[in-house]
Amino acid sequence: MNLKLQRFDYRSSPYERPNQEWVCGRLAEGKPCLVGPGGNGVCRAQSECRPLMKDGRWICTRSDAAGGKCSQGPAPDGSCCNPIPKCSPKPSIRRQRGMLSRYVVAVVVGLLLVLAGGMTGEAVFSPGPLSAAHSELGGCASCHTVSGKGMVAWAHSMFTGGSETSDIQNCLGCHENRGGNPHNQTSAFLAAASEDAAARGGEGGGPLMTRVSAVMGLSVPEADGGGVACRTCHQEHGGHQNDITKMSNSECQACHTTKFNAIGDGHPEFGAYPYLRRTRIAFDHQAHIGKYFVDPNNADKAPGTCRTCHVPDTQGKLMLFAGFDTGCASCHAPFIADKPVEILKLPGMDVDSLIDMEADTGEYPAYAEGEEFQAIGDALMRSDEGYAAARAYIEEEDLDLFDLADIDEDGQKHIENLIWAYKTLIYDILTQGPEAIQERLSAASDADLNQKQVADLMAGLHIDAVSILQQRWFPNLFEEMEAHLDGTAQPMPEDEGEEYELPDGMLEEADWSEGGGWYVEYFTLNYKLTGHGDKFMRDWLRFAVVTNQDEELGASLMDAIGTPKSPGGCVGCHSVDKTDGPGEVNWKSRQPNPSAVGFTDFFHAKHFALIGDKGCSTCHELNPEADYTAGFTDFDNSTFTSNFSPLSQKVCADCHTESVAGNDCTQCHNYHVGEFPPAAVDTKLTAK
Amino acid sequence: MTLTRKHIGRFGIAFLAAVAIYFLHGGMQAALWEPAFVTGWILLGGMLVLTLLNTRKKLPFLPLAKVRNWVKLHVYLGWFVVGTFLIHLDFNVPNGWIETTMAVLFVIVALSGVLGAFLSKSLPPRLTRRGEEVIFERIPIFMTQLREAADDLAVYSVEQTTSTSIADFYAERLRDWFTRPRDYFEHIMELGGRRFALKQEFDSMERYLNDTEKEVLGELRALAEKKSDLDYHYALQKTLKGWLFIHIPATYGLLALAVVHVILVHAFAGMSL
Repeated sequence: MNLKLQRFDYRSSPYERPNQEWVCGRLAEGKPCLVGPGGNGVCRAQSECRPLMKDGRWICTRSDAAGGKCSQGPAPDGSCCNPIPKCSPKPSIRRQRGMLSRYVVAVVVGLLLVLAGGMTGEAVFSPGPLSAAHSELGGCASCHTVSGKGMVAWAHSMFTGGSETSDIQNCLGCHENRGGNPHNQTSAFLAAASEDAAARGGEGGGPLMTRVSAVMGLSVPEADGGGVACRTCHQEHGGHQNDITKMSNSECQACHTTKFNAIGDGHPEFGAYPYLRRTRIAFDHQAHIGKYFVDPNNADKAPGTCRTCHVPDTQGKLMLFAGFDTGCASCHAPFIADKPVEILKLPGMDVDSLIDMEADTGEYPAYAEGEEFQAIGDALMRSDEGYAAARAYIEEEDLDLFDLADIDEDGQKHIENLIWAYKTLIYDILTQGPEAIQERLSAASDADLNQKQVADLMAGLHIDAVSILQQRWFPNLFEEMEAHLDGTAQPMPEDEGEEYELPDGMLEEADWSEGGGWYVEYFTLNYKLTGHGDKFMRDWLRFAVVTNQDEELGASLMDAIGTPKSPGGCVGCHSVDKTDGPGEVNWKSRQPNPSAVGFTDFFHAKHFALIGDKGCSTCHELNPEADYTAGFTDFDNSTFTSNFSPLSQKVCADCHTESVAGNDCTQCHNYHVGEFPPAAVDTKLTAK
Repeated sequence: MTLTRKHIGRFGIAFLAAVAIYFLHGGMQAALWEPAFVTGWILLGGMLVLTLLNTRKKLPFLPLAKVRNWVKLHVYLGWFVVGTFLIHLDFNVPNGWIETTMAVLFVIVALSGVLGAFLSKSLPPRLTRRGEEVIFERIPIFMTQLREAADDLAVYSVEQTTSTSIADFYAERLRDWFTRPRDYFEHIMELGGRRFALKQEFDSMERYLNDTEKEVLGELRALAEKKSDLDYHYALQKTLKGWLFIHIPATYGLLALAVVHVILVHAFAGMSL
């Protein structure tokens, strides 16, 4: 039995065309016709052959592959006697595959259109959920300006320019101050910082991919409007848990000219960090720990550990100073208020000579004995032209006010003006009140002081105190001033009056004011400090350093109240920063500012469990050679020497490896540097 | 199917090309560029080149290198595209609707492609080893021929032997089996259980027949074996063509979504070409 099925000769095997779209509907039955369907899938079969007329007879033309000539032959009318019944052609395998492909494409596109236009809307086009912080943003248009313009516009935007610049503005709508230059710094600052980092070493070329990008010659892409686009670093749509602030070390080093592998491998030395500026509170650790605390007299007052004075802030980030009461008061409090501030003191005068020369001064106490001008009184009078000229004359001539016998007429005039300046000041205060002080200080300081500021500076100065002062110093002040203002000359009376004496048994004014406040002592108006944090001193120092715009006045005031030896000695501990522009008196040590972001963060509290017996000195080692106090001789907080030796990078690098505590740049460093208050909403106050 | 040095060499080139893309991606990322745009276009370009194999098959008259070489290019470029796909995704699972659908389609295309490559290598030798070479589209014709021959033989057995043993055996046990392709998975897995069972039945039947009947039964057994071989070829050839029913439609679905994806990422990332 010959069971050969497949033959390949052309007589018994018709040519197979698998690329045809349709096959005979009878193929499944195993009986396909040889004609086959047309390209449009229509059955073309009629009969097995098309008889041919030859020599007057119809001849069968059935092919050999179909069985050769049939035995019956064509009908007399020339038709084939073997008609083929019609069939319904079936799609070929190729066509079935093509149709399936088209169905799949149609389903995909159709589903996309249905979902995009339906309930799910924009979610279909979203490449993923937003991070938790952004998850409540409403729709694509919150960030993407191109949103809502449709697929055609989107395709068009591929060729006509992007929307990067406008998209950035959407980000900055909430995240103010974060766009623009790298680290929010100027190009000049960045260049200087790069130079500084280069000077501190740093080597290794950076992580592998950083070196790859260097080989590729890539530089950081600039946004359309300059700077760095937000999305360059922050990739959204990574899901709720996605940390869009996460940056790899390679990415951080994309801009940095000094490239290195990690903190323990090529990181530039710390340099001065963390002692980047003078401490706000001048506290010489070396002197205190090495000298004062070991003095047996202070044994019961000296702190035992660093934490007596230094406590972590609520974030565990900064170590804050525990404050005066905890850290300083036991030794320093008794000496703060031990001497008063002399506000106004009548200068001693050669009254006899003034009487002889019939000077136009009115009466003047012969027993006044002031030898110098008080800075605050000076500030109140320096807007008086006569006073200013007199002071200048006295300084130029090096005039001794207790010997005026030889002064000329010009000198006499200056002395007269000086005395009238004192009288006018007291008269003005008594007749005009605080407004007189406001006017005079504003003029002297070239600053427009307000009522509140003046009230602060007066520190509760009562009119009675000034009145007593007037009654003791110039009993006939009002009559004299009226005549003086009328232009009537008032020679100094020959009667020098009597020296004021306290009634027997009356408490000395200074003793009465032991607890602080104003008092008049003979020919001096004094203010006695109330103790640490005295508001009068704070307000006058602030006036001198911050409010005042007159350099000479500022220097004068600081000489009087702004030195360690001044009453209160405030500036002995509270440093003053003033280089360019308004200065600042550092009343407090460094304070945490939740809105401020610096280049480097260090969380002290996280490290407490890791340091051993050396404790804080593991990192902060005292430097006995440092001349710490020399850093407080001027107002520039950048010229200083720390009490502590430079921080060793090795201390950090020992733990901060990839496998132990991690060595990501962003563990310690921030990109967005500056003040970033939390986003707030403006809620209108309404009531039902 | 054995791995030759040529296979390893070609795969090595594809692997090295993917590694180059990995470094390109990493280098760009390190410089704060968006590498997904570059890897995305490489990926799309690679996929379009892969689809050219289908086009090449439809244009046999053009001198565009041999299809055999196009297939090789398709396989190894396919591996490269798989690597580029993983790099493009940064080895993460996407979570957008379109992106996830695309990823699923890509995985389907890739896995079906790997399966297809495996089948294309492993099935043809099996086809050569068993039965005669037949054109897939003609198998229904041959199957009908065999069934008709078996029908004739059953009638003939009654005429020759005046016994209905063989005809009954055929009608009850074989007639239905002859009507259409059978035992698809058994042939694909090359299990042979059905074939053995059939042989057992023929052997059991043979013991009760006289010589004339045995001769007829022998012819019927030959037809049954031929049918089994035809089923085998049908199963294997259908499989060889069947995987493309997954691979090609999924490819076009993927390409359709890729067009949408490209427009969206360029428009919404704010970047023009």
